[in-house]
Amino acid sequence: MKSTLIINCKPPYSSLSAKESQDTSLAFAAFGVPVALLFVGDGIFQLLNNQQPAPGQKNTAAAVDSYSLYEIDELYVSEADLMNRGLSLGDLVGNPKAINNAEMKALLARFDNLLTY
Amino acid sequence: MKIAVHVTGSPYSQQSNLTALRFCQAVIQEGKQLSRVFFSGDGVHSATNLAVAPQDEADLYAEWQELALKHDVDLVVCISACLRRGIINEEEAQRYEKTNHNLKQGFVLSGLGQLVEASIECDRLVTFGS
Repeated sequence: MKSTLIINCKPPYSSLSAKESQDTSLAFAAFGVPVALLFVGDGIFQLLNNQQPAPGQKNTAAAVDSYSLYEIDELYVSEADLMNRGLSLGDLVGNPKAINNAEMKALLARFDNLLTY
Repeated sequence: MKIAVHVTGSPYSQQSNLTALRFCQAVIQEGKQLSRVFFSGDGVHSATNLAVAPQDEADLYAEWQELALKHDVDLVVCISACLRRGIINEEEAQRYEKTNHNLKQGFVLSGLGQLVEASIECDRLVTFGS
């Protein structure tokens, strides 16, 4: 089975990107495709804990709890982008692994398909 | 070489939609197999039958449709993205009790499973994002 890495670049509430990326991740996993998620740039904010979305918006971090049910266990964040935003792994849900640029290059090469949101 | 394309950019408001269209046309011209174009996010606006292209600009809606009608390309629009954005076919209009429907001929309303299938079966999946 081909593997898919889903790359998230956008912040959670300025567009539907985060929500539609989550739907896609779950769909791929539900079909038995090995899926991993990478968060870069402002996409890291999707994993921020203690989010308080405005009324009518869904908390993007809440769905992360369901990932393990779908066997999505590999979450990665860019170490540099995390630091640039004054964040640490303790601020994020989903237990992601922080990776440097060399590790990110290896990660991108490991997957058959890359989808960017 | 089997190529599948994933479009999330909106026609006219995002360059990626036009770039995706030109890419698809080039794939066909080169004699390669374009197995499926999957539209999600704002890309689904490509499938509306109600938009009118400016007279002195390329008609992206007609050019996308031509891929299906003339070249038999499978144009699939993501149903959940479509429902949110008001792109529906006759069947969905009945289901949700809407008086009108606007899915352009040549496009098929279906689920994310079609993107999964395309990603597994093609040699290359190319995303044109937003």
